[in-house]
Amino acid sequence: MKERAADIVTYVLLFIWTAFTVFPFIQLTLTAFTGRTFITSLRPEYFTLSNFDEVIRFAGYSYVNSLITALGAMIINVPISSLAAYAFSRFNFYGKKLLQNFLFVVFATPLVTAFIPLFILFRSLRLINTLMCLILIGATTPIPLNVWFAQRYFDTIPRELEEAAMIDGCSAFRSFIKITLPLATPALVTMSLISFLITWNEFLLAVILISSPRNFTFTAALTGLGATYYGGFRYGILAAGSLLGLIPLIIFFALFRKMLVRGLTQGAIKG
Amino acid sequence: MVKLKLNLSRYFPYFYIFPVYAFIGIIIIYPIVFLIALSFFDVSLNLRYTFVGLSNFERLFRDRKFINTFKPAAIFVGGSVAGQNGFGFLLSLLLNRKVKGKEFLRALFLIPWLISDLILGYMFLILFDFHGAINDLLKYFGFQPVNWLMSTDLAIWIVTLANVWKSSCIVMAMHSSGLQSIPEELYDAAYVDGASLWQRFRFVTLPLMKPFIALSLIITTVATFNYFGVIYVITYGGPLDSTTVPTFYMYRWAFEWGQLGYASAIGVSVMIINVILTAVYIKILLR
Repeated sequence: MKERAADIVTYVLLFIWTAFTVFPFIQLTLTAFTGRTFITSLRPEYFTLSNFDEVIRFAGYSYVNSLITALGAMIINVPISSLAAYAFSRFNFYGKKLLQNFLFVVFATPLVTAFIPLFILFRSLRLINTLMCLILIGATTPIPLNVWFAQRYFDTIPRELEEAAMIDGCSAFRSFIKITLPLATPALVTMSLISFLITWNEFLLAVILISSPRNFTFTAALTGLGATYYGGFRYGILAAGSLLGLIPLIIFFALFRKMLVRGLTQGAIKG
Repeated sequence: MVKLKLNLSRYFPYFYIFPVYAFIGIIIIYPIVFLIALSFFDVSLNLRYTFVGLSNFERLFRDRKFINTFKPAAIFVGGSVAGQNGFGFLLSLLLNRKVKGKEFLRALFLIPWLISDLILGYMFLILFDFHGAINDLLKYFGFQPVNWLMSTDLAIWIVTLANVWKSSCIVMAMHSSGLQSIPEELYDAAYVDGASLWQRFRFVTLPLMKPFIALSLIITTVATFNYFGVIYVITYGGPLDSTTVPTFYMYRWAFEWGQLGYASAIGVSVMIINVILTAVYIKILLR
């Protein structure tokens, strides 16, 4: 009897948290399609696509910029992270433990404190205002998480497979590329998703480092597009732009939900 | 020839790890060292440096506005840490029971953590604007609307709520793997001994989860103290600086008022607080 009561409480609480999680998304969708921020007196005739039309017309290119940035960061981050993870998983070398612990320190280091020096650094490198600086940062920030994740995955792949390939005349590097990496595809997918999303979502650094509109990422473009002259917000535009910004996440969840959740839950233990 | 090859192979691992540490060195380590140096200079936005010694810090300690940023920070950090850990732990306990659709719910609850701070901010703006959805619902049920974001008392709680909404799930994720590592037999044994649900929680779950709880407390405290993305979007520090936390204050001095040196001094003090927070927690954790 008591266990049943506990079951009921469990479902009620889970329902409440589900509602709490979902409600902002529902309101965002309603606002995007109606331009109204209220919920109780919405009428069918408020339905409009004009918000999406305006966002795509004036800021469509910024989503392309975001895509380039996120893909660029991903393409750099995943190979270098898996290389390092492979070394940590397979070789013993001087300073290994120290270097691994150093990644923990990096993970705990607040990137906010690097905002000002990064601004100066990219300015003196003349990379400011380009997508390149966001790509370089996006390639770096997921490193601790991804190295750690890949290493755990490589540890589960038997060494014998590589050794067999090496006996057949494969070099260590080639056996890594040809044998280990293909077996680690699920880990690579998770790492790619994580580094893509981290860069796609980047917002403060985009505002700080990019000032010319044609290089805006969608996050930087929306802050300008959604503001009004008198200091208010045009919520319909912001909501429509936000919904468009959620598209990658929606696609990832449709296709790779299991991998993404596993990556995050396991990544979280490391913290 | 053979000898050369052998010698080289000793250094192979370093070639593998070199790119990662090169990126970290340039993007994270160098900037932080540079930040400390910057805090001793007067730097304008067009990058003219004047050495001023410790005067940035002197000015910082006399800056009432800076001192005042710690009040909202205390609410923001305290509220977020309590909320995220409370709700996160509760959710992980709930999802550790035999529940239908567990995997789906776990995925759903993780979504808030995966969206951009900008989108998170807009969602809560739409909800808590004076003409927003929450006030609309309040009016519908016959209550007075509340000016959430224009109130110096309430605004900080709204951004705290947004942060709890965003990051409770990451505490949940940490704890759910911890809970799975507790052997089933312990619960069975306690059950056989007649322990109630609460007693099983109090004497089996809680002691074994202690290290995980301590760790998540550290992570959420430090993360929240450094975090101002959601504040930037929802309130921009206002009204009347009532939601200006130290990191946001640093941001404004640097990129709005163009005093990079003074902002760096704020950054250094933020970093020192981070180190202290982490050290204190680690000390508690290792005890």
